[in-house]
Amino acid sequence: MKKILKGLGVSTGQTQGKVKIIMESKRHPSFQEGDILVTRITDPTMVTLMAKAGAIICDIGGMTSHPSIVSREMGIPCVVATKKATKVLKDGMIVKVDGSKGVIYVLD
Amino acid sequence: MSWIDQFIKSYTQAVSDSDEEGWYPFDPYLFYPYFADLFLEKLIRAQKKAEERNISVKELAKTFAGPITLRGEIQFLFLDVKGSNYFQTREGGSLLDFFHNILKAKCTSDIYGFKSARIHTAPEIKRIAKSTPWQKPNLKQAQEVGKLISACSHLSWALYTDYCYLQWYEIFGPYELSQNRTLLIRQYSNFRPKEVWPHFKKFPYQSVNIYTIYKNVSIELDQWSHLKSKDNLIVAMENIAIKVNSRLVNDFKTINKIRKTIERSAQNLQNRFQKMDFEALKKKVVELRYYMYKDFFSKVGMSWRPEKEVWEKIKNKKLLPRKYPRFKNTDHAKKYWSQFIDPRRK
Repeated sequence: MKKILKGLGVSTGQTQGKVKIIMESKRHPSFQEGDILVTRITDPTMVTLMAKAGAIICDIGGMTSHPSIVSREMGIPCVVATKKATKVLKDGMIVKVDGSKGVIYVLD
Repeated sequence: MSWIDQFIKSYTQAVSDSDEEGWYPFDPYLFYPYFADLFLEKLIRAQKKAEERNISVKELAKTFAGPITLRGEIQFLFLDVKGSNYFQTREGGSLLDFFHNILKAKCTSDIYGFKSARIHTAPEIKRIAKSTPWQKPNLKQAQEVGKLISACSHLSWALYTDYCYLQWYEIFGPYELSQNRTLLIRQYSNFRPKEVWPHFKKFPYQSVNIYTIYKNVSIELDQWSHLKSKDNLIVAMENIAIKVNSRLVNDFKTINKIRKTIERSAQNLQNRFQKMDFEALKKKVVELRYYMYKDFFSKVGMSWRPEKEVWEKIKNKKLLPRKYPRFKNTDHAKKYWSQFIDPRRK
């Protein structure tokens, strides 16, 4: 297990799952329950994906940005302000997300 | 410390936790100044009418859903006054004091929103805790409630943007109950705003109210209704009650169906919003801001709709070219925002 990214942990909990990079608000039929939603910043077009996500990781955002508030309400880990999640993480990577410490690990 | 100083202190806490890059559809601080003079003029007329008709501050407070709506708007009114012809005028100051009085009439404590948004008295909370038909959710059901909260919040944001939603999505609390339990009441009161979104006239749900009791958690609400907690609210969810169109819904198959309908509508509306051209988007934001005051203007006998001069003020205008600094730390951010919003400073 290797630490790959650090940001601001805004919603407690740990989980692991498959990364799905979401750059646009379109239908994403390949997004499965428990996948890790990775994007620059979430917006309301992603509401259905967020309801399925096991965790959320964003490039930007603060303690009270959209993904942070929604993740806390849904009880899923969230890390924001990573600066480069959408560049460093790749579709299909299996990662572990620690929403308390704000750390993302890639699993071998 | 003056009320303005106290308000600013709470404001800087809220804004420093936020990220202005994420505000949508665009940064209101870079847009509201264009029509600030006209908006303030309308509010000052409303204030005069309220005084002429002897409408009490308490009655006016009832036209706003909760303290978060008022706090959210007061910060924008600070900015409006600051950048308009009403800067350092008697009318500008009087208008701010007027809304401050309405805010005071609305809250039972923590007026400026350092950690809460409370409008209920202790006896009212006792009655709610005792008389609400609570359900104890299992983990899956608690997750469904969390998703319902997300769906309703998303539809509110889609209908009303990131900063005009407060009148229609208020959270009240946290209220401390016995045995280390905490009550939050979420109120989504208008999913059929036909005046601003005609195709929502027949949306199946007018309102959703979600009552949740959590065990052994620490929850704060900042000045803008943002919930902060280091605890897992799904695991800690002990009791729930959900009302849709004022009727209790306790079957989770139905709750799931309602949630998915609301999610789909939020997604579709936000997609539609994102396809709007910039001129249409600006007009919609203006309309939504005025719409927040619908009940307030109606109370004093005025139409809420923006006057036609407002459209001329915003036509073909780009967002103001302000650049925020890269903050070294939270103290730096708070100092900046304090000066930015202070209506007594240019």
